[in-house]
Amino acid sequence: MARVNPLDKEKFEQAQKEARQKPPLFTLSGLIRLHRIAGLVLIVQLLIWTVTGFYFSWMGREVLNAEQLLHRTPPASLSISEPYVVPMRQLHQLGDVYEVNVRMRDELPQLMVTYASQRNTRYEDGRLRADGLYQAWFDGGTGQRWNTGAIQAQRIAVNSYLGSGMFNGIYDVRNSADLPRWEGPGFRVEFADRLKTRIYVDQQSGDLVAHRNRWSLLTEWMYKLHFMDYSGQRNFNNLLMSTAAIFSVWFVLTGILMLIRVWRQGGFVAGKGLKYNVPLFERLKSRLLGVFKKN
Amino acid sequence: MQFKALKARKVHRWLTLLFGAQLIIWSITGTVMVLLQLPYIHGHHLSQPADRPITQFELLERIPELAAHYPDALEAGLVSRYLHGEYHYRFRVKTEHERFLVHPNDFSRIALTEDDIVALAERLYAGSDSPSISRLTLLNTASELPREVASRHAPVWQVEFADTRRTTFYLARDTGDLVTQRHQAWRFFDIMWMLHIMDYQDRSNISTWWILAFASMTFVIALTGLWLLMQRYIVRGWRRLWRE
Repeated sequence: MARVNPLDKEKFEQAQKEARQKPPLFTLSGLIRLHRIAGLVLIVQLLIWTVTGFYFSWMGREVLNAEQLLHRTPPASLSISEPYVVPMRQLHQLGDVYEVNVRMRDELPQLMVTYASQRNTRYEDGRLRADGLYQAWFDGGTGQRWNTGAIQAQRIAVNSYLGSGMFNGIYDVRNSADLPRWEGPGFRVEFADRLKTRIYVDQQSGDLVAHRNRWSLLTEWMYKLHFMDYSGQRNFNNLLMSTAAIFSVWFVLTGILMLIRVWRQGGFVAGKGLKYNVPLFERLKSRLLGVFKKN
Repeated sequence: MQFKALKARKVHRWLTLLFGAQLIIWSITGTVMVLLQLPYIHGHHLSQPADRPITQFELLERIPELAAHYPDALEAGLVSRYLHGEYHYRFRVKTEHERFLVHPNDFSRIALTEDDIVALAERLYAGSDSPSISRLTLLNTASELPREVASRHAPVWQVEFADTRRTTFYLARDTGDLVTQRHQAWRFFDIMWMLHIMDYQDRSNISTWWILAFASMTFVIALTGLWLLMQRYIVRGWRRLWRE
């Protein structure tokens, strides 16, 4: 099919009229029409994917994880002094215990227990891991469940902070919009610095959950938009995302077909001999000659 | 208006021709990663606990003594592990640079044999058919480790199973702990990830200059595409309506 010269008004309008007639779907023209329809459906999400993808690349992992002012404290040596209590009764009640690890947490011995729960998960106090086992933490000094206090949480947060900002308050939080995947409860420790650093400490384990700062809210929204999971769980295996992804494959494949057609029509060749390009070259020639004549 | 549309169309077509290959790759790799369920990729279904549940919790009372015996220990744990043909209680000691097993009575270090690793791997295997190990390799240094396992885990035993998923377990040389598990779907996902983030070396750097360049060009492609769609479905429609 020859390319129509857009400057030839009569032929161009006739070609336009022909183009307006909707072709059957399973012809090349039909597939190309589907590219436009898929584009119409997807265009906003495509723009979102490119903008959010650019944001992730531009910011880098450190900013995305808000780790600009994170100091990774080396774990303390295991030095246990009296009192040291093993919670025998509680360990026997947990279920099938596969591992008990003892470590120091804020100068106190802490027992970290990995077990398979035999209770109804609804009443489970431990925390479920990705491999299906649970974890629970005990205070080696009292034999009771580990329960991080505000002073301890503040110390853990300050030890993980590299910045020069002042401590700006500690808050007892059930969970946080900053960390939608963290179950909580715990503490939010705030620092008065230019990044508005917030540090989360888990109450059940005394672990540092994460650092967050002024970029975190924007980053969270970028993840929500990129993964199309607006709950904040960063689950990209959701139905909406899967549908959009399949649509996008369709969109690019029909785009390739369009490119092939344009190529075959000579759309990517600036050849002088092509009828379509004759006026272009004439104009170019006259402009260049005009410039030469002036000089 | 026709000429403006023509310009946008040319930009759209030329940029797609030059940078569209990556757009296709992003689309296909993104779709594959979205369709493969992440918990399946992590492969926790490939393994099960190989240790026996602990009943002798009173051994934990020896931990302060163990800490005094190994002053550089950062963590100590109790496990009931299948070693030398039967289950034994052992303490696992973690220092800054290594992890190892010790005897709970005299705190002497215990070395694991190849047979122990085979027995542990067979107990860890959670496939539907009986485990059949096709290859067992000891990887002592970080440089020997394949890309699919982090270098910090060295030294490890690589245990490959003769199943359709090409399941591979990595077990710590000195403790027999399952460090990680890999299978064909994971390897396929990793290739998709590599192509998606355009880091063909380490598969972890998301901030290379070429990904930024391609993302910028893709943004221009999407913007010109949006302009063309507006031309087709909004501006022309309005003009036709106005004419009529």
